[in-house]
Amino acid sequence: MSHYLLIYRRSTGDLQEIHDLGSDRQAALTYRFERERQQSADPDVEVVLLSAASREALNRTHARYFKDRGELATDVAAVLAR
Amino acid sequence: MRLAEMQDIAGLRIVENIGLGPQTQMVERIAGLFPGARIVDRRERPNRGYRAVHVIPEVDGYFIEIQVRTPLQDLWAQSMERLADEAGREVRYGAVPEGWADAIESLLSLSETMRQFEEYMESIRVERSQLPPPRHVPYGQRELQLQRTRLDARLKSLEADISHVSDQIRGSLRDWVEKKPKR
Repeated sequence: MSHYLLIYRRSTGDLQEIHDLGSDRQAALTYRFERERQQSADPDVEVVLLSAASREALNRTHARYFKDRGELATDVAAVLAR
Repeated sequence: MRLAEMQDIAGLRIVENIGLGPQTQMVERIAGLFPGARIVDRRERPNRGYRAVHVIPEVDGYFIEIQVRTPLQDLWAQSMERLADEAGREVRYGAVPEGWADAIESLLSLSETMRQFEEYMESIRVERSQLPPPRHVPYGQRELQLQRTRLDARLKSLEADISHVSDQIRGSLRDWVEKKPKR
C-alpha cells in the first residue's frame, strides 16, 4: 500500500501536485500536516493524503481529482456499454 | 471541527464491478467482520442523489467509514464532488448557488436513472440465475421449457427498458457536461 499526497485546486479542478510517498504511513502523515500548514491560508486548495494499492487504483476510487466532467461522462458511458 | 466530534476519522472506499445483489452480499461479509457495525444503505434512501452503502464499525474506540460502491454509484459521487468543486461545497447539502440550478438538477436526475438502470440489471441477474441455460432444459420437460420461454420474453422486455434508461442517462450526461453556470 502506497501513500499519495495530492494538492488540488477546487475551483479550477487542477491537480497541482501528486507525490508518491511510499509505504511509511507516519512519514506520509507528517509531510501531509506540513503541507497543510503551508496551504492553510488558501481555502480553495485541498491537501489530501490517500492510500491505495497503486496509482491506477487511486485514479479509479478518487477520479474527481484526475478527471473533468467530460472524462467522467465517458467512464459512465463505458459502464453502460458493458 | 474537533476531532472528538467527527463521525469518522478514517475512511476506506471499495469500488467493485458488481451489481446491487452482490453489493449487498459484499456489505454483509464486511459487516460480519466487525460485530456491531452500523450499515447505512443510501441505495434505499439516497442523500441528495448519493447512493452507496456504508459500513461503520468502531475500531479501538474510533469510527471507520467503509464505503462500498458499484461503478455507477461511484461515478455519480465523483461527478457530484466535481460539481461541488466548481459550484461550492455546500451543493452537497442541498444548497443551490445562483446559476447552478440546471446543472444540479441534471445530476440529481442522473442519479435516479442510474438507480433504475442498476435495478433492471439486478432483475436480469436474478431471473437468469433462476433457471438453467436452454441447453440444460431436458427435452420433454414442458413446464420447464415454458418457464424458460417466459423468462426469455421477460429478459427481452427488461433489456428494452435498460436500453431506454441508458439513453436517458446519456442525455442527462450530455446536459451535465455542457451546463455552465448562468450568471
